[in-house]
Amino acid sequence: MGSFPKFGAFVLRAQEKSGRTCINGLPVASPSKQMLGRFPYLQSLRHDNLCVYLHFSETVIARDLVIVVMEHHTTTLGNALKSGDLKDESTKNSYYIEISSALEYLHRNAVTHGFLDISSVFVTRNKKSTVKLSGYGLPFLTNHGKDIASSLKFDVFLAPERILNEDESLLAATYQSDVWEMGFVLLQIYLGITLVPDVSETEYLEILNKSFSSPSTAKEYSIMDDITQLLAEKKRLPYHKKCDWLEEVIRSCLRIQCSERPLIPEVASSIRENTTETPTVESKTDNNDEYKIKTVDEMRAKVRENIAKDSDGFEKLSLENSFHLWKTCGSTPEIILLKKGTIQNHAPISSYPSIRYDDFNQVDPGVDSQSTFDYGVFELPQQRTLERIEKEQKVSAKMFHKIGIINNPDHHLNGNILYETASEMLTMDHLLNATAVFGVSSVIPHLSKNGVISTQRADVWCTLLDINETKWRDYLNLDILAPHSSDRQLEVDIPRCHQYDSFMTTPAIQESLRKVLKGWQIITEADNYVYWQGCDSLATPFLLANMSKPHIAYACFKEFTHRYCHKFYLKDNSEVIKEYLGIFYHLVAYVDPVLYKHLKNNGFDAELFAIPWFLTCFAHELPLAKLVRLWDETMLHGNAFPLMIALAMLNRLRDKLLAVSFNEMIIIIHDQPDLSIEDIIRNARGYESLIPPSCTFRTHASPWKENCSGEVFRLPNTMTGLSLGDLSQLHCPRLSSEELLWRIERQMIYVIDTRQESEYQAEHFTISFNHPNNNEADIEWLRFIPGIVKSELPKCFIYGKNDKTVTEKLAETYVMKGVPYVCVLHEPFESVKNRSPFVIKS
Amino acid sequence: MAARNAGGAARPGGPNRTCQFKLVLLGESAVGKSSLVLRFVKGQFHEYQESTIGAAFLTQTVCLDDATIKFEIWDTAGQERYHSLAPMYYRGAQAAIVVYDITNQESFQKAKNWVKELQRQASPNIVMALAGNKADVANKRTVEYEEANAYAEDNALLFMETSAKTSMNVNDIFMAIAKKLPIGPAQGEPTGTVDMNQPQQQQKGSCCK
Repeated sequence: MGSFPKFGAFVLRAQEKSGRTCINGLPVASPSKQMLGRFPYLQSLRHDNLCVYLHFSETVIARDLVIVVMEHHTTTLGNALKSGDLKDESTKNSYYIEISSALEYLHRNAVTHGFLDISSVFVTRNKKSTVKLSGYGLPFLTNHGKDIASSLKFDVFLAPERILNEDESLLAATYQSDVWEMGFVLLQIYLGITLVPDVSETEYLEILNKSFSSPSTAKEYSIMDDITQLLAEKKRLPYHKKCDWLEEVIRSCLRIQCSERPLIPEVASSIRENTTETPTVESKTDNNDEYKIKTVDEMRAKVRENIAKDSDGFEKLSLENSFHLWKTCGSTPEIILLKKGTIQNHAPISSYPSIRYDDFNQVDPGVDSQSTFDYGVFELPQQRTLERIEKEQKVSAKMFHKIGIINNPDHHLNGNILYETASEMLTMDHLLNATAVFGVSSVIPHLSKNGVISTQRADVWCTLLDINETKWRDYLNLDILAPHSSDRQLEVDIPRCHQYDSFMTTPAIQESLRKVLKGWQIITEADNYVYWQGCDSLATPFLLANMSKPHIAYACFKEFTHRYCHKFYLKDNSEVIKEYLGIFYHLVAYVDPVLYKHLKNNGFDAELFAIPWFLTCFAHELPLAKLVRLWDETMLHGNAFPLMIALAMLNRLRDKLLAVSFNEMIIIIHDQPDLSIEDIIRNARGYESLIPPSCTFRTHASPWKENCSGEVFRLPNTMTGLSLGDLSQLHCPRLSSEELLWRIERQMIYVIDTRQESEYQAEHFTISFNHPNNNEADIEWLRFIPGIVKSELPKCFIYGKNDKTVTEKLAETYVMKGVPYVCVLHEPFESVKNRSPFVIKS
Repeated sequence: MAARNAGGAARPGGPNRTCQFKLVLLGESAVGKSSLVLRFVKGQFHEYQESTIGAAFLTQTVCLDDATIKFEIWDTAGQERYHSLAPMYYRGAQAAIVVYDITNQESFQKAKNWVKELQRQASPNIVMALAGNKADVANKRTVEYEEANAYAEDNALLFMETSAKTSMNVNDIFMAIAKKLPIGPAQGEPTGTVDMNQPQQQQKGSCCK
């Protein structure tokens, strides 16, 4: 077991500031919200020698407490030094390299560590790295301490300028103070001991005092030798192999004048130059090994090898996925910390003073907040996760290879949700990686069966939308700060966009959303695209999936709207929208003529309710949790899928709508509580298979074609668009002649020929029926066509070149009589007959 | 719908004709159109009221001495881009509230444009009101009461400064409109529908049944 990662949680008390308002009159975001908004950036920092931040939440029981969860390990560098097993020179060398390179990475990303000491460095047994820095970036997270009210415990060896700044804020950490504190860590590794308790805080301060007060102190004065001298005086200086270059490095880090200390890159490169051993670098590529395998046989061999070793499958899961599994076991960090007593909740009465005298004086103000907490990092228990995973079977590599490489009967996995989830995560990872070779379509059947796990959503969406560097390169070169005509609109829209989501209330995420939308506008301006209210709702899910990467959110937003909201955001979109709504109503007539008639009779036009549906692809109508599920599904389908969703949404309200008239109808349709998204998806899929694809033809449809649907979706299509007037005169969809012929060949259609009997006798399609000549709808006649009553196949009306209008009128009459699945051919019989081998001539 | 008509349930035994009137709200985005309607219809206020796409529809009933008035309220999107949809909603409307934000001079200019458009395009008998919303933040005011009031008088508009947040003058402005609406003998069918395609409709004198 063992390699299921550990998670550590710590608590911060956010500063409470209430009652302040911004210039726009809205309340200022609370400090805890501001921290929440900054957190995704910390979370996005990835380096082999940094612990990963995983989770940030406001607590429910006390609104000022926040909980941060990060990767955790058992042994700190301090423990390792105390136990005295850190003797080996090459290990020490690799520690120097790893610590300095991790810090270099942080500084390159404009983040200071602020808490670097031997207890915030973990020693791991993982072969990928030997040390990992933890607890970094809190100055960034807390806005240099301004956003928190709780004090933080610091190591003894704080940089002198931070000690002097005590009143300002202890978090006044800088790049230079990080260098100082790293100097102490390096020194302790070098000496192989911990300085505490041999060097007490008083002695440390005395040394600093002395070097400050002495007039002879040179600018470059370093306290390193003072420390070693003190140890030597106390006879506590251990034997260590003298190393001149390292002493020089440490000495430079410990210069009293912060401006004299070197920058981290300088330290890191001099460490790299001077350490000859190449420590554990070979292991860094280890993770990619599997993707170097070239043949299936090699893959099988690799899997067999893993199974033979009985290696634990968890090392293959990413930390986010592991934490997701941990949460699946039914607990939250908050509940655990409460149960363990780390957070103590007090009764309100305990904050009352115990004695009050005169009028205002009181003794013992009691506890000043309703809840208190213990300082420090607490390891979250994982017993339950592991027990539940192991309940039925020992975890082994076998669990995680269900993808057909090994014929592994996985019935024993059924019912264990953790197995299923873990296995699903790994399978998905594999498949996503494989799309580079097998194409996006290879992943669709699996997704369509199993759905998307939230931790993998960003990757899945990027794969489905085919996002790569070319799609965001232009975004990165924009001047997002330059004034733009849409600035005011964004300014008023963004603060009220999806405000029930806590991330969306944070200034940082709102700023990112502004950048995404503004960038999109600047880029698409040339194509006459503009910001429409509602674009904000639509861009939000992409941003929440990629919080620290607005450029990816931008690329996803652009691609998604290109596919499913094509031309909707043109400055003048009325043609596009009206065509879309017209086709939508034709489809309603096709699948539910009774409802269609009711809508029409009540003047209940699609313009009145469906514009926000389509314009935002339901983002303005559904809460985010439901919306992302709907989009997971949408992205697996073609550009007409939003129409199918809309049909499903309408169908859900069908009975209610049929019972009432206009006013109630419009209220019912605007108010959709307890909507089951799974039902909507199931029905939308049903409509997609029911409706002939060419019936969804739109002139303004996206040129993008989905890459995996059936043959009928890929037929050529010679249809041309109708004028909006003609569109509204028509009361059923049109079928393309290509699809007609395809369906005739497969006998998947009822062809109803409205030409004169004599013309029909002369030549007609093999499986067609000649409609009685009076051009009046005759339900009785229709019912006698074999099998038609129960069939869900299209009934396509075809006509001679002079009978188009009459036939369309006839089709309308059938629709109004409640006959479903009615459509008309888009061109007369004469234009089609020569292209078909299925014409019988007398 | 009965459940929603909290604001003005019909009084028992009152004399009663029920009249339906179509009312439309127009104005720059984020001036508080949806908030006014939400306050009037449901008595609620959301600090972060989400933007309106297209339009929203709500109804509310108020009682006058001699009639019960049912408002069919179309709350339109404020963004300029949705302007082309507006005629669909104000055509055939018997009442309109043009809203501006007293802390935003531009929104007042926009309101004047709406008034002009309604005078040109809407029914000649339409009852128009001007609402200066966000009166609760009067310390940030940029549109003076006197200025707006003078403009309203010149154009024969009802005028009030309102606050959806504190509910100041919200019911009052709707009541003031209700009192100005023609409650005559029944004529024709009440229409809740909006007119999408036809050219401008003949204004119906009143809408009672």
